[in-house]
Amino acid sequence: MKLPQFELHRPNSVDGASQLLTELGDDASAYSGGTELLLAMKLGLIKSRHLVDLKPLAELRGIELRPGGVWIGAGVTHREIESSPAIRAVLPPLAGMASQIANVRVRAIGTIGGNLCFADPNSDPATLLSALGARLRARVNGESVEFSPEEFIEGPYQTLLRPGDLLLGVWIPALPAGSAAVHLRMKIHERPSVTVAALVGVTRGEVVAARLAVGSVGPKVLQVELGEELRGLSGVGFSTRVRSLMALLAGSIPLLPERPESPEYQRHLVRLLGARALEAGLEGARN
Amino acid sequence: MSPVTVQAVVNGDQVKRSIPPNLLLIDFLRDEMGLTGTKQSCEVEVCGACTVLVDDEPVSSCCYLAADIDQRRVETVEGLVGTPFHNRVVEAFLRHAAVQCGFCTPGLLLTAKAMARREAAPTELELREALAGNLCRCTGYHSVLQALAEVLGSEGPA
Amino acid sequence: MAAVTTPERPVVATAVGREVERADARVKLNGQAEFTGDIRVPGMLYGAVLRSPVARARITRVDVEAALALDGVVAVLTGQDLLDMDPYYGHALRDRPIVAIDEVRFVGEPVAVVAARTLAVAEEARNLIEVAYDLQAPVASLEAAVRSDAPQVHTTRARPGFAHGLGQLPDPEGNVCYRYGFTTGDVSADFAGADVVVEGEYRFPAVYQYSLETHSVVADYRGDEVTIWASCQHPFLVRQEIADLFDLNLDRVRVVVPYLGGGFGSKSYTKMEPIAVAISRKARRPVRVVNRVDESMVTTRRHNMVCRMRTAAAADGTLLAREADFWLDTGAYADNGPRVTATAGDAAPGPYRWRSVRVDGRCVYTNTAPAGSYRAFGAIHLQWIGELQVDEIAHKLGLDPLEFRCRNLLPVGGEVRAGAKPLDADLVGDLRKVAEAIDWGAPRPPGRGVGLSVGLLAAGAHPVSMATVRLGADGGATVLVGTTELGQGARTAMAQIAAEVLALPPHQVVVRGTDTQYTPYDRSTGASRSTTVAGKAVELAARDVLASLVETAATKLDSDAPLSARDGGITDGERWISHQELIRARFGFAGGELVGQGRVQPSRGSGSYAEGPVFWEVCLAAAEVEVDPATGVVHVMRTASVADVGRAINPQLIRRQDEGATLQAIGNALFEEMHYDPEGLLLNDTLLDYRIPSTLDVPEQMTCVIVENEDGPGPFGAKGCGEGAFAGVTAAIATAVAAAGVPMRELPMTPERVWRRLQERGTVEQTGELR
Repeated sequence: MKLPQFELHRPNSVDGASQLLTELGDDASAYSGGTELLLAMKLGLIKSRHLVDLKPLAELRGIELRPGGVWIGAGVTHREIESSPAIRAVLPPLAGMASQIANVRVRAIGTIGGNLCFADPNSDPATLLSALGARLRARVNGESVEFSPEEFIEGPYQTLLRPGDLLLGVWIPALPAGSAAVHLRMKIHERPSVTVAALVGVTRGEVVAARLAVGSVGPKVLQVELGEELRGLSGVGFSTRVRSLMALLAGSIPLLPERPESPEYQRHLVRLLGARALEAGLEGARN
Repeated sequence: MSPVTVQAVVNGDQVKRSIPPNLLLIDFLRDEMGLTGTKQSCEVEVCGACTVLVDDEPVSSCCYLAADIDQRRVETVEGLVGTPFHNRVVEAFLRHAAVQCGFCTPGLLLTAKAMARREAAPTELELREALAGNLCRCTGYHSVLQALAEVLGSEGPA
Repeated sequence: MAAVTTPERPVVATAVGREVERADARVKLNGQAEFTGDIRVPGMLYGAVLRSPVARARITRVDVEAALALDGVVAVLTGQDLLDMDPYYGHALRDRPIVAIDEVRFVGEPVAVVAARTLAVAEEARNLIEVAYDLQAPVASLEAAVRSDAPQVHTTRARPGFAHGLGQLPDPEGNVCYRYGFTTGDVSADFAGADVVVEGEYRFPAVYQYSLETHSVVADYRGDEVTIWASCQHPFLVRQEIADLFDLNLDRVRVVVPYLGGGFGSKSYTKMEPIAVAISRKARRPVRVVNRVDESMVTTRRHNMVCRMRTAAAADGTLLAREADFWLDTGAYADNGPRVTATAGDAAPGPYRWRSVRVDGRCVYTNTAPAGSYRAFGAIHLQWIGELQVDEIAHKLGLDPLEFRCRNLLPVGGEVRAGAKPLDADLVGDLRKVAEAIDWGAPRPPGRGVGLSVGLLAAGAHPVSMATVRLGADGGATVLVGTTELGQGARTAMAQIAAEVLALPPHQVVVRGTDTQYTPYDRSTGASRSTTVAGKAVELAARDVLASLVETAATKLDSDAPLSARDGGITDGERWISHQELIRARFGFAGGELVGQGRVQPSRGSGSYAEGPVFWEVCLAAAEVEVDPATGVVHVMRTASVADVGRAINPQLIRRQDEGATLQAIGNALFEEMHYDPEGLLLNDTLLDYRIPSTLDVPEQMTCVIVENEDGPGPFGAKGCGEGAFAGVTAAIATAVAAAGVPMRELPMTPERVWRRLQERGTVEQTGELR
């Protein structure tokens, strides 16, 4: 397989890249790691005549530990995330998730920003970021705007960015004291079939906050706040409530059509993994 | 298409070429450089047969622009030959007969090289996970895991 | 003249039975091993194949004008270019045109081929070819194909091919292109009188062999000769098929086989070679054609199958009778389907002492990609079904599956099939060995299961192989043998065999790749035949050389004592002369060489290998699995397989064969499956959606028990291996999953299918815990 013909542009600033992408419009694609884009172009699924290379842009690089959280530039690779001492210390589930993406080669060059912008529904990062309450900062019409991951990704391969807009990076708040985050997924084929992530906070052993995100099954990440439903619960009461909540959620979550696994089985996995993630979240938050 | 100039170090040699921007690294290596040790198989970044190192990181050369090796170092199996690492790998692979058809072998060695550089004595699980992106249909992997565990100084499978 | 005992007489260890270094390992570890796709011939063009996007249609128009107009395009081949020849080929049935003529029969069928100066141009030109199709409803499944009103995939009857080895081919019936069956005893009476009868309908998936190297060919047609470099397993059959197609003499077709990047059956018989030769003929230039993976997936695959089986037993634990009806989906062209059907039929009863058996297998055309050979074909299709039924009966009778099997298995010398070679292996002994390797009797926690399986595979194919051994004046030997090195270690094993006869160190024996111009005839590399059949030819060729050495030595030593090869020379027990010295003595100067010939041919009958087999390959294994009742995920924890090899030429290579087969078995048993939509479109045609086993699927323990009873027909009592474990482990995983409480009737046992089965059986609460 060969790549179709295209012009390769290498702007030297985010402003320049944005301007170029605005001018070229639908004929152009922002090009970062290329693990998804070049593949899609080889397969004839994307026919951009211009690639605007974002890799050299220092503004999109870097992992910074800041008060209250971590900033990850859109051009940071999965490999950098999984091996970052800062992320390993502050957000171990994020490092763990990044270490499970595809394979070592994809992680070495694939970027967090590229992953989010490509918006492949069968993918882990957006789901975990959603549960973590991450904010995606993008340059939209020249302005810096923040979104949640579930807002940012509108559907399969569709974000709210328009030509000329760029994702700059991701702000992930540090885990609140007494809370834990858990990411679980089931991989049957090369890409995840079900992804769930939970964030659970406890005070004196009882739940005070809970959030669940479900991805890889539907057209976009579904995030639900379960703090109200689970507040004050622990032990058997928590488990019972989680089970009934998950049955409800799994029964109603929108699914993508034409998947190798049946809707029934996918809903079963959502229910199962969601409950496991919340249980593990509670367990983790107590320790 | 406007050609792009790449200036890179391939297996220790300075290379400067003007190439079309849509040229894939695997085609640059195999067709332009004659480095046919790098193999093409799945073409979708899954099998690992086309693995080469760019600035010490393993990449799928089937989905990597040759234009992007500009100002970087590229290492293929041909560049490994004769290095102490390769000598150790060869001895271990021979001991365990961990080569069969050999089509996956070059990519596998480069993944192992990248691993050797950053991970001292990986656990068996780490080894399995690091190699999970290099498919082999012949060996059943057991001998490969044993050989690389020896090379990387870790506990191999039973 | 006094005997010359050179002071530097070496000590040469015996070559056979040793784990000698693979002859090809270093060149492969250095990235220097040459594969077909690495070959560039001066003036070579690149080929790109246009394939049908629809499963069944009439071609009403093909317009190649725009493609031909593209700069760099040299030639475009379509069905219209084949009107001056008989373009149909197929070693079993000549049912397949080189490229589609007037109609297409599956998605992916080649319709046109472009040759251009670069691959990029060839691909671009291919996309400019316009084809108009008059669509017809496809026959996209076995069920659709066997309906009485089903459209015919082929409306004309194909001539038989030259190498099916199946005797008189029966008339086709509808879409059934071949039928194989037999009956012994009174089946109805035995079922009527049985105490226990189990029965069911079972399904086996279409799977893809996935050798990492795809089908690759370089063809160079000049004048009335053609040279082909091909990733093929059967170069001599390819030569014959190309000669037939293009009306050339055999010696005008030269097939050269470099290293193969795996085969597993996918490169057996003729695949992309006719297309490459035809486009080279038209372009008058050498052309390289290398498939993408999605193209190789529609070039060949394994047959999917539906099977109805029932088995009867007496209450005292005696197996009585078995009936098997099965339908194999061979896709749009027969390829090796008839042979697969016959081998499946032979495997259907399983190696037990039946009173009566009825087997009826059909090979069925559908509008899907052609199915052919894949490691352990036939046996892998039927063994898991028969063994599940054996376990089901044991369970109903409250008998231990191991003892139940041992009680009913055929003894050595038993009749496997009327007219065929009697059983040449000790199955009870083998079974007890794998049972021990897996701690058969040990207690297991819930969710775990241990399974056994026993089967046989008719191995050896048609036993015709020749070999030449050349011993040079320096004492080094070259072996010319047609076995292709596809990763199995053939060159290493052949070197060991010749080295053993001539008492040379194995590294002093070189085995070259096949070049039909120089290499003597060998039927094929497959059916676990190489060590046994081609290896025997090598042994005989080496013995031919040895006879010359002994003849010269007898003169030189002037001795009546028996002479034998030892330490790179000939000895009478006391005195020793090196091979070099003997060659010098024979030719009178430091040159010349001894050339030996070896030949293996059928020892009886008409030579049809239906009368064989050369040997029965044992397919025998045990597995331990863990089933996650919540997700349905099956984890294979331990496996044990038997390599009943007669004599192990190289034990390490044998273990590698069984380990490789074990991982393929895990894929076939648990997750590999090609999915077709109702229109006959393959849905998962990349490795993103078709998963094969990785390092994460390797069981914690894989044991390969090597059994050496020196009872094989090959060199030093050897017989082949490498396929049996595939059928054996697949079936053992199925029986182990059943033992864990989930008897499955469909492969692969995907998480969803296992989960559903658990739901049906009602053993799982909503929490997903086993009750």
